[in-house]
Amino acid sequence: MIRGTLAMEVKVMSLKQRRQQTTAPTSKSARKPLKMSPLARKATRLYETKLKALLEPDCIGKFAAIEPDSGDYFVADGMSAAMSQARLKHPDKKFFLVRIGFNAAVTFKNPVPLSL
Amino acid sequence: MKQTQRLQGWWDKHLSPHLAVVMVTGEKLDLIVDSGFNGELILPKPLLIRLGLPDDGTMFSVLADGSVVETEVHIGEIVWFGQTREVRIQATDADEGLLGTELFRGCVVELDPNADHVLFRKKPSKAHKRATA
Repeated sequence: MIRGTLAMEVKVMSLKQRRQQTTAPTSKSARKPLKMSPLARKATRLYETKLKALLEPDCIGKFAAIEPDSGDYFVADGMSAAMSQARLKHPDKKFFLVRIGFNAAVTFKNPVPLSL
Repeated sequence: MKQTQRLQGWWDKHLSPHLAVVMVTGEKLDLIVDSGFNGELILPKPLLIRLGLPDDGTMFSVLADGSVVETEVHIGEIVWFGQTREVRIQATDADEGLLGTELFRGCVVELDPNADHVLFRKKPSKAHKRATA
């Protein structure tokens, strides 16, 4: 009986809807970080103005290591793989890592809100 | 370096699963296995400085309260199933180290607090499966 009631209240979301909820770079409701380094500021500007259109939605969930001075970016399935590729080309640079389609590269919380 | 298929951890009295991970340089890290963290490793800043791990840049992280912060990323090399693996390590102001789900890839992870059982089992690669089929 209880199980039946809960099942009625569960909001079923498609994978596309779940992704939309978690793709904060395109979401106005996303919380902005309080402080950004110059590296992060330049890289996020590059992502928003150029890379987002190139990489979303085909590479959703992959990682991109961005070197904002050159505009180079390196996409891979894993975070270390993306940053290692970037380091090979720019051994003396620092990189900003993004998870394509998400507001942060990593998370400590469930990105999908409870819908019960 | 001897290749292994299993990494065994333990549970602490606060009901947190742990795994000991060894850096290539020999330091042993006691890490909490955190399935709510989808990165590779997190270590306290003072430890990262002491280990001298090179800075590789930054990334944004979503904290448990939903806030977004920029965190430093360092390069480290760990011994993972007996082989050297390069990982990205985030710096934290907290005093504990975490092992995240990015390192769960290619593994079966078994957690059983009643049996004090924490086990990372390496899944056979596709090439190995083909060779033994």
